[in-house]
Amino acid sequence: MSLALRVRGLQKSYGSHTVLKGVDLDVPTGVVFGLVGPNGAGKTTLFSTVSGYLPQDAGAVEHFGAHTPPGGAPPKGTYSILPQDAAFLPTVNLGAQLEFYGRLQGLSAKEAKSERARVLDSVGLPEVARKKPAMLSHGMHKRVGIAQAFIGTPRLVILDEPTAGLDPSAARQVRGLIRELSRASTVMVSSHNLSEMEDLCSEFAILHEGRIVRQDNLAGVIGGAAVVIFRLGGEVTEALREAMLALPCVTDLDWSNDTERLRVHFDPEVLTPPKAAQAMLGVLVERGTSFVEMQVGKSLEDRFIEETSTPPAAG
Amino acid sequence: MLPRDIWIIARFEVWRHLRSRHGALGLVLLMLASGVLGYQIGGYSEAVDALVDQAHPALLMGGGMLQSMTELPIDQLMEVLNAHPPMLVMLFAGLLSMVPLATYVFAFDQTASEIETRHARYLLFRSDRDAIYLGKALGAYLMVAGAVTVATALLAAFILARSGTFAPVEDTLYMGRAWLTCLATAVPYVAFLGMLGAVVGKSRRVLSVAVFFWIVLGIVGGLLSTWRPELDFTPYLFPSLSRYHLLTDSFSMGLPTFVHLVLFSVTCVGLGLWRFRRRDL
Repeated sequence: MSLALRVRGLQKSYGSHTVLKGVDLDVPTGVVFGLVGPNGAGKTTLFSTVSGYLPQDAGAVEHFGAHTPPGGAPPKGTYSILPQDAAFLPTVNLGAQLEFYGRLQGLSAKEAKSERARVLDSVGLPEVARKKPAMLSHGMHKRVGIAQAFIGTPRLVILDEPTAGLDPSAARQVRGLIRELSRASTVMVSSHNLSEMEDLCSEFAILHEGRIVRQDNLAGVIGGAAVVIFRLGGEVTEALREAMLALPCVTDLDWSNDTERLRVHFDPEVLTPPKAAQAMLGVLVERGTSFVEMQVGKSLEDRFIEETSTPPAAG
Repeated sequence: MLPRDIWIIARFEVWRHLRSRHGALGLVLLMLASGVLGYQIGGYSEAVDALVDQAHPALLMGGGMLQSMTELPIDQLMEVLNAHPPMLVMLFAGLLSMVPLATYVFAFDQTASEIETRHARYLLFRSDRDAIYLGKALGAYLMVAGAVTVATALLAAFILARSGTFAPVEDTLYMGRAWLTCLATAVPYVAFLGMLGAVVGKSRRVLSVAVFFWIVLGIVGGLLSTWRPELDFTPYLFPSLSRYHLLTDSFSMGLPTFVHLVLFSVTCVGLGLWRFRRRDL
């Protein structure tokens, strides 16, 4: 498996506060990779360290197999990032800034100009080239930030919370954009919106208290759990409960009034997840129970809460 | 570190400064001040020429004015005034005195606002830290060089136009020497402000820290020179040590100033780069 990013034993402290405690991470090429973690887990510090903004205290970073020294730049043109908290220059129009970035990536003046036009078109903002950053809304600013990250089609693009602070329609637009742009580049995204991450990413890592506590593909993270979750139109009756438990594959079930969800646990040795879900659906239909949603396996949110509810094991 | 990156960053810096209100206003003010000053100095030329005809009084007058400004020994100054047109010597001294102010206006913000606004984060994965630091410094220096060039040209034009006396080869060469000397004396100031930017990381604070540093040096120097003059090391910590010695035609007087200029600049660039390579950006 070829890796876009390989991180080993990465450590970073701010004074006496250690944020990254030995992060190991492999990001394969050609995927949209999600990094999730609670506030303060170290996601932005991890991105800042692999981008060379913060020299690490220990550990190694490789971009496409090439070692990057602490605080050093990744190989030119292979990598870019939408930093969470960086600002464009307030006195220069955005088109000129994007051309400048292109020139620094090794493009000729002509290529930089055409790349500027291409990336602004791709985010649907060709008209902002002559505008200064102060004239942009938060959402437009974010989209221009994404545009700069795709100048020159780098092989790995990191987007640190690309939809934070956006309204639902702008966030949807940005997600569509990321999907579109990810056809040409490996993309690594962080977000607190886990359903969005589930929708976008095919591989995940969960960062908790400065350590990666789990890294797997989507099926591995959420599909391993032998459970089917139904969101019902009403409460669970005793008859429904008995009928479900009568299925040979079902081992247990629980109902939550808070979330209005029925969680039916099953033994995958008896029936595969799709067959078990089919059998459970049959019971619901027979009983005339209405349901509005069904999910096989746990949600990313469930897994996230499970993985981050206890301190990670040291080592 | 790629020379191409340094050049791209430097060019962008110049372009950005020229388009900024601060840069444009600075240049306009500089042009106005140079024009007015050149016109005024030129206006005295008739009186000075008349006095020069009577020899010593004019030279003594010019020498007295320059002596108070430059603190050069009077005999050295008289030698300079005898060898070159007094108006051009005054212009040379005026330009030298203007260099620190020009660097303050045009070069105080090199990497500081990049660090402060985190705009550096858009550059860091596209180039390396050394290229960013040196490109910004070169851009700032080119701005200062442009300002010095404009000021020299305007001052010279007005002085020569009003004085009416102009020895094309000699005066042009002397003006060229004044211009080059001013460009050289700007280097340690730009290097010093660049280093402060990398250390402080906030653009306006760079200016206040520089001024505070020089005030403290002045006080320490004053105390040391009163107590033990031989221990007064403070002049060496200023970006320009005896810069007015460069007015004289004496090689032995100018050499220590030039050596200090080079050592001070190299030290500041080295320290600034060292800090910029290690700091969080």
